[in-house]
Amino acid sequence: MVAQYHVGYHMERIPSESKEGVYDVYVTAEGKKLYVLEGLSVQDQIDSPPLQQFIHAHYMPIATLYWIIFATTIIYLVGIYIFIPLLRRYELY
Amino acid sequence: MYSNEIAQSKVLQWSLGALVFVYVVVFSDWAPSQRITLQSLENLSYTCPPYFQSCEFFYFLEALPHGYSQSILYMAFFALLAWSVYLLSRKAWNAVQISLIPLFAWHTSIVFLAADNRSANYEYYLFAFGLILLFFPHKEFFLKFIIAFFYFLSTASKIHPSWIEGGYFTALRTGLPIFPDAYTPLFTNVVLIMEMVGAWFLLSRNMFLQRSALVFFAIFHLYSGILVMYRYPSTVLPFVLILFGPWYRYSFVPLDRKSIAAWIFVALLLCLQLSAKIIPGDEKLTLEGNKYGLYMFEANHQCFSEGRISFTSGEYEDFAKSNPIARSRCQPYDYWFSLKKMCEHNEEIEKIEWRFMHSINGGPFYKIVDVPNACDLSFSPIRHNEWIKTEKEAEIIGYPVKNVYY
Repeated sequence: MVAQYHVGYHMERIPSESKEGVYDVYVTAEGKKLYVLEGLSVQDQIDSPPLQQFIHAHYMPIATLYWIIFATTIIYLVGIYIFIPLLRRYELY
Repeated sequence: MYSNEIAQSKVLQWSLGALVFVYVVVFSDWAPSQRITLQSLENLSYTCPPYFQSCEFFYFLEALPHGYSQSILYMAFFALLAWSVYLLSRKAWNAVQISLIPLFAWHTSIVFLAADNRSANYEYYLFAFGLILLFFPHKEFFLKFIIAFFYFLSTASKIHPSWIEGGYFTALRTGLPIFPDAYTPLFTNVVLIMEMVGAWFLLSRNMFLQRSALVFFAIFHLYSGILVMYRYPSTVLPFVLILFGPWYRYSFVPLDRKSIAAWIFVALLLCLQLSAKIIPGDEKLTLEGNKYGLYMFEANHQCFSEGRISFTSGEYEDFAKSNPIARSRCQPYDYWFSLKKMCEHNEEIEKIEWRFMHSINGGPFYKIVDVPNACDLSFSPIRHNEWIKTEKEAEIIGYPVKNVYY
């Protein structure tokens, strides 16, 4: 049973928006709405550790770097598994 | 079926034994399940794959307590598996392969044609192992290659905040097993790099690199088993240990005519893995094309679906359903499929208003579906469906709390 009123952290449950047995809606002091699905607890708010915040701030360059490594690996694999053996077979390498 | 290769290779003989073992594991899970039975068809709890939405043909068995037909089929499979073990002991390799073909055919049909909820990633592994061991030539090379290639392919779905930021695990109430939350992104990025680059060291001539990679992946499978339990490690780890363990020897790359089919299969896997990237929107949120490649731990999901069923009599019924389980993919397609089948089976339904809210990795709940009548919709498996809103189009309605893995 999720439904609790005034659970702390300056949050309040909004009965009109909650659906019994499905989810409860809370609003924080900052006006942010929290949807607490059945079986979860409003106490378990999501927080990001500092390393995660740092990576989040630099996400695009890191993701791009991963895609470059991914593409480079494919090119490298095609080279060593297909092209070089074929060139060797026909004595071109 | 290239049985002579098996006759000459201890590694392939053990791999064939591992294949029998994995079929036992899979079918012991499937045998009592109600998922692909006449009952799931009758109560509309089934879901066909998006590219084969008329899969009802496969729903003819009855599981207990309703009937015995499914039990009979799976006990026949058990007899075939026991027979295969006997044939293995007699070193009748070709006969083992022939005995396993019906099991391979059934497994493949169920995973790829009969039900969308049977297409788990470890089933893809089993399909590939079966295909190579039963049909392809150069079995030892392609078995080794496909394992490293699967690790590599899986990273295409991990280049995402789920893994780069570790958002999948920091949004879990229990976090990563053993590791504190503060170091979660460190762990996820090490795994990402190892699967992308380090996996290829499994195939190396350099024994230090090869052994280091083996130890890493063996530990990785045991560690990930803390979350995923036995199915995934029991499917993959036996093959990893047999192919890359003490019997490991470097395999030369086959580039003859016989190897063309296997290379085409490899190319096809790469294309399928990247196919979701062509469909507009974050496939982790819309789930369009998500299952066409590997999608292990691609995102931590939470969702809820709600709406109103209006009947021709003027009456109506509200419905709402939530899913807080991280591993349970919140595919709008699955929910739509159920609603669509309701419309088709109940002529008294006039329309179904439907809204679907989805959050990934602890991010905001996006209202990705908001339609006046789900009965009028259709789903395209290869294009973006306009009725599913992407993260750029969808309204944010609120935020989630930490959820549970299962």
